[in-house]
Amino acid sequence: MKTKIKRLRKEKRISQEMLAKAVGVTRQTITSIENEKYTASLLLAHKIAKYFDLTIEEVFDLNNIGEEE
Amino acid sequence: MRDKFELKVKKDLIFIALVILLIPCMMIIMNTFFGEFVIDDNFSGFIWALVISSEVILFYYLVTWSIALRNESRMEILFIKSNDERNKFIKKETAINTVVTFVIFMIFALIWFAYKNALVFEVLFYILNVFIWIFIIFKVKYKNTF
Repeated sequence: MKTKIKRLRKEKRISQEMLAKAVGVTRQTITSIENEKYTASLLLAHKIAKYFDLTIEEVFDLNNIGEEE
Repeated sequence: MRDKFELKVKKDLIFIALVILLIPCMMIIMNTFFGEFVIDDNFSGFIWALVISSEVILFYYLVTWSIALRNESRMEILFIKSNDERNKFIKKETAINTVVTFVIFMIFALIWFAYKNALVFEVLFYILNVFIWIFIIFKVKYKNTF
């Protein structure tokens, strides 16, 4: 699933480590989500979106989920 | 949730400490009552390697978790690692809990049959080898995929 996490992190100058700690996951999980290897759960997606003060739709591209699978 | 996790770590520590003590105890008991190994030198070398390596691995976890119980930041890291959803997913897919239980059971079974029956020991030895290779392949596959 495509996400804007990397771009948002760069804009706000936040490291993967900081984001990971804030949402309660490991840095590797953030890397996997950014590289589109792992799809975050609804709860994690919500936590990440909340961290950036955005909605889930604004952070994650939900348009072509069905196509990916 | 954090309190429950700390309690779980404490319980796991007791279990690990028991296994660390039980493995050499079993070796001593078997040696006392059944004498020498019934397996050849190569296999007995494997048994010693298995016992020593499992003791080292278990001791590593014992020390790491004991330190985490006394150190807040280490406990936080351990808590995040244990509750990380990707880690949980990989653990579920590779069935790591079943693998650990199976390996612990196999260690005791291999020690037992090393003194009792060479043929059964060899069969268990090959089963364990196949099992470990399948587990390693699965682990690498899922770590790279997700």
